[in-house]
Amino acid sequence: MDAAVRFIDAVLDPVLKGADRSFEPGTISAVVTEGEDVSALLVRVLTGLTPLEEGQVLILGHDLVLLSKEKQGEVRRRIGIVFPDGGLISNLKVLENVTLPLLYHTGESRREIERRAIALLDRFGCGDVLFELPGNLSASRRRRVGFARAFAPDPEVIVYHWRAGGLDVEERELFLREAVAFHGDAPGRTTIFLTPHAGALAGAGTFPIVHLTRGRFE
Amino acid sequence: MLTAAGRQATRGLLFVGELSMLLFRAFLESLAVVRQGFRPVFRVYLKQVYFTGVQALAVILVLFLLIGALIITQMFNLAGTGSASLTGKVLVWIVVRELGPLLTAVIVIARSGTAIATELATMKINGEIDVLESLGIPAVRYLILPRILGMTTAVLVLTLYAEAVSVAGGFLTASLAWGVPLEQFNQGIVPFLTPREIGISFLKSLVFGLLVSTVCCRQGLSVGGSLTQVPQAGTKGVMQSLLLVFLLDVAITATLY
Repeated sequence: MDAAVRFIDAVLDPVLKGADRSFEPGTISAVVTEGEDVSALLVRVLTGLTPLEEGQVLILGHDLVLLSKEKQGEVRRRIGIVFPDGGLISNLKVLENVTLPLLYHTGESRREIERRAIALLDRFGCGDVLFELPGNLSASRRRRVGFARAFAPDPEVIVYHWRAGGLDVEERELFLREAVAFHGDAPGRTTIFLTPHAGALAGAGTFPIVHLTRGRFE
Repeated sequence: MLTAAGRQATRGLLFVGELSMLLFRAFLESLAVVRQGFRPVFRVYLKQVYFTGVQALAVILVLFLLIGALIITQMFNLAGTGSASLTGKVLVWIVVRELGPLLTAVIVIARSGTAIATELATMKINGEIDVLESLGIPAVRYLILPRILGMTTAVLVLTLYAEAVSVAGGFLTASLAWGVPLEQFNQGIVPFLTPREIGISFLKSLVFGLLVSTVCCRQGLSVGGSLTQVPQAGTKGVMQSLLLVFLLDVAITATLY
C-alpha cells in the first residue's frame, strides 16, 4: 500500500535537509519540530504551498507542486489541516467557515451540509455561536471551530499544527480525545501531529514520535 | 531626468501588465466556475453586490437628484425657461455622458474600493488566503472573481439609477420651480437620449467597474507581512483607481465623441 504522506530526500533549507519518512495509512504519528515556525512551514510544504528546493513530498501519492490547480484542489480537499488559532476566514460567520469547503467541493444540498456542520459545531460546544464572526470569539472557540471545519470534509489525511500553549488541561484533553476519536472514525485515515513539544500530546495514547532535528527525521 | 521618466514609464507598464494578468486570471477562473459550479462563489458575488451596490444606493440617489436639480437651476438661470430643450440636452450630455459613470465610480472607489483593498490585505497578512488554498479553494476564484464581477455589476446598475434619478431631479426642479411641463422637458431629453449615448455610458461604467475592482484587489493582494501595509493598500488602491478612471474617461470620451 502507498504511504499516505512520504518525504523523499526533501530539502528546504534550513528546515529539511534530505528528510526521508513515510507516514502509512491508518497510523497516528507525531512529528516534534524545532519550533512553531518549522511546524507552520511543514504545513505549507504538505499542502503544496511552499515548494521544496530538492526532493519530493508525496501526499496520497501525489506531488502537489507538480499538479495543475484543479488537481491540487482535488488532493487538498482530501487533507484536513487544524491550524493552531483555528485558521478561520475572518469575514465568514462560524457556520459559513465550516460549510465553505463542503459547499465548494461537494454537490450535497446546502441544507444537508449545514446540518452536518451544525452537528460538528455542537460536538465542539460551538452550537450557540453559529452566526458569530470569528473576531467575536475567544481563542479557544476559534480553535474548536477550526477542528469542526477540518473534520467536516472527512479527510483521509489530517494534520494538526498542534500548540498546547493557551489551553487549559481540560481543553487540551478534549482536543486530543476528539482528534484520536476522529482518527478511529474512518479506517485508513492518517493523523499527523506537528508540535515543538512532545509533552503537549501527553495523554493522547501511544503512537510513534519522530523528531525533525537538523532537517532530518530521527 | 530621462532615466527617471523611463523608470516611471516602466513601472507604469508593469502595473498595467499586473492588472491585465489579474483580470485575465479572474476570467480564466470564471470558466472553471462555470465548469465546477458556482455555489460558494455566487454567495460572495451577491455579498459584494449588496455592499457595493445596495448599500451605496441611497447616497447615489440623493446625490444625483441634487445634481439634476443643480444643473437645471443653473441652466434656467443662464438661458431662461424658454430654453427647455437645450437644458434637457445639457442635462443628458453632462449626466449620461460624464457625471453618471464618473461620479458613480468615484463614490464606489471611496466606499468599496478601500474596503476591498484593506479587507484583502488583512486576509493576506493573517494567512487566510493560504488557509483557503490549503482547503483546495483557489483564492483568485473565491475572493477575486466575485469581487470583480460584483463591483462591476454594482457600478453598472448604480450608474443607471444615478442617471435616471438625475433626469428626474432635473424635471422636478424644472416643473416645481419654473412650471415647465413634462412634454416640453421631454423634448430636450428624449431626442438626445439615443442608444449610442446609453451604450457609451454603459461601456464607461463597465470599464470603470472592472478597473476599480481589479486595482483594489491587486493592491490588497500585494501586501507583505506588516500590518502597516493595510492602510497603505487602501490608500494606493483609491489613488490609482481615481487616476485610472479619470484617464480612461478622457480616453473613451476623446475616442467616441
